[in-house]
Amino acid sequence: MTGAPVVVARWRGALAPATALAGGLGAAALTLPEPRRPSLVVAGLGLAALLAALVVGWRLLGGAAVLLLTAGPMVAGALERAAAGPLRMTAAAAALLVLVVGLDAAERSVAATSRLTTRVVAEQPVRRFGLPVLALLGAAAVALTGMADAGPSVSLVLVGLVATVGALVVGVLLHRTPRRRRPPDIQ
Amino acid sequence: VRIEAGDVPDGTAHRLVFRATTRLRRFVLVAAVAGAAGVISGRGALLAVAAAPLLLLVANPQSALPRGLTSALALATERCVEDDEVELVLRVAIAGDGRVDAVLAPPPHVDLVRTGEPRPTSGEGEVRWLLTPRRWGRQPVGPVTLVLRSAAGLYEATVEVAVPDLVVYPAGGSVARAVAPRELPARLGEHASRATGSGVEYAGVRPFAPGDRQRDVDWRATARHRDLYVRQYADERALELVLLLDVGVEAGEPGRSSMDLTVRAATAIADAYLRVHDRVGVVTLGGWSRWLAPDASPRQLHRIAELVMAVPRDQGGLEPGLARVPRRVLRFGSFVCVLSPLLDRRALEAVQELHARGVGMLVVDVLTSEPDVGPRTALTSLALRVWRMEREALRVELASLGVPVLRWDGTGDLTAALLHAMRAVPPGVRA
Repeated sequence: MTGAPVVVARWRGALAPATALAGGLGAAALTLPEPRRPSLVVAGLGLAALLAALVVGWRLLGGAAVLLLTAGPMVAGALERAAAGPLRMTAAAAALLVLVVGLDAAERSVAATSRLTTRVVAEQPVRRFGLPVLALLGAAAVALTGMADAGPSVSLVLVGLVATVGALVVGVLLHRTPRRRRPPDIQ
Repeated sequence: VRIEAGDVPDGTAHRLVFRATTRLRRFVLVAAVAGAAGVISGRGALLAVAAAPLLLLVANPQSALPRGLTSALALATERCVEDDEVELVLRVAIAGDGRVDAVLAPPPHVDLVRTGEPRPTSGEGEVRWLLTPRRWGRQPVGPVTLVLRSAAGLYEATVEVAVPDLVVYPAGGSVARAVAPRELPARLGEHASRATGSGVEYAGVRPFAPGDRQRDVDWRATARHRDLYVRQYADERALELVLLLDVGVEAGEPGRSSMDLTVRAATAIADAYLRVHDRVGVVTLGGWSRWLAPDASPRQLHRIAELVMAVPRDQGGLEPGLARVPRRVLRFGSFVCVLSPLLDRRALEAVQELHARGVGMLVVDVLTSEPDVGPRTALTSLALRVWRMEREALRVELASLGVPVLRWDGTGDLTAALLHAMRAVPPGVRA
């Protein structure tokens, strides 16, 4: 159904499940260094749900896999301080981003097996790859800040309040529905 | 049929309505679980897992979503013949950043292939498909669904682009030459008839009579007989051909069913005879009777093709036979080609009625398969044998009326059978 070589087409078809699997395995692996039974059970169930979701393509199973594989490192980090290090948390954030993106693509490819899907317009590469990298850098910064000891004080609370209000204002401004633009002409 | 770059029409603007995708909901889920874990456990580092999806959500606001999409679609032709290749081109442009996937479900009875490897760029792109219809009829192709995902796949909008139906005419080619009987109705045409007239084919000489043209004098015959003789020419007349389609029953595998063969044979015969300006008409037998009076106009083939392709859609329970068909459609002097799977006595009754009206006929048996009776047992073998005998009896009855019966599987040429049937028309019966 496509002009591309068969090997390339197969490789493309396997890319999305492989990405999801890599993300899921990465998230599950972050529970291993200091294994505790609850986190291992949660991560194991998450991997099982992920495999089932990749085979069946049910979005409910995919959602359960994301929930369980997120909960695995979180339970591990909550039970063991060593499991909540900045590097591991940043790695967990990266693994979960990869998991969500890969799972989404895999589910769509399962749903579209009987149809011919062709990419007509592509995203700008800078936006496609730059934003996730920035998000991970932000996650690393939060992880490093979270490790620092801070005593409660009035100034800290005020700074927190100002930051919250600022985030709300910026969020509302950015996410409000813009005015309609004229669609482009085709040359 | 291909499309050149300049043949694609101007684009149509679509308004986009975005909705949150599963990816967005899962990012929110990850952020909620990580945030809750961080707050409950009191470990700030866990919030890092929540930070990444939240930052992605904040960095991809709705204000950055494209608000318009323009699409231009062109189908090389809306009318083609079976196994033709028809190109479909779609161009898309968006105002903003995002990726657009074109989704097209393969239509039934149409092979769908994407031509070339599209190289999508940001902003606008083009995709080309090649459609190869494998069966006659009105084949729905579209719509093409455009799925626009923007803001790192967090929002999605869907647009449907309508594609016109493909009207696929049956592939003909089973009649190499339009043959005709020697006795034809007195209509101007291209077949040399037995009657003498003003044609170009030499038909003999006769003694000169007052009023004959001087240039028709045959000097050699005149010298031999020592009296004036003039040349005679065969009159050129048109055949009135009526195609009687028995479409009450359809049997056989799709693509080679009795209906498929009937439609293909009817179109091929009509095409061959209309090329030589004969008058061709159609009558359907079984279900709702429909007819098309014989005509030789250039649009007649189109009308016949439309009628025969519409036949399977309006099969009903009525079996009025030929009683409702007007006399002007099946006139004395017409030649009737009956296309039937010969699965019941309806065809025989029609042939008997036409025989009584004094028209020449050829029956083409278009059944290529036997009924599926399941595992072979003594009983099923007997049933199959009885079925074969009934069909044989029907053929014998037709033969006893002097009507030639031809078995046709869709591959052979019908010219010889038509010639045999037309030459077998008894003297005194025109056509």
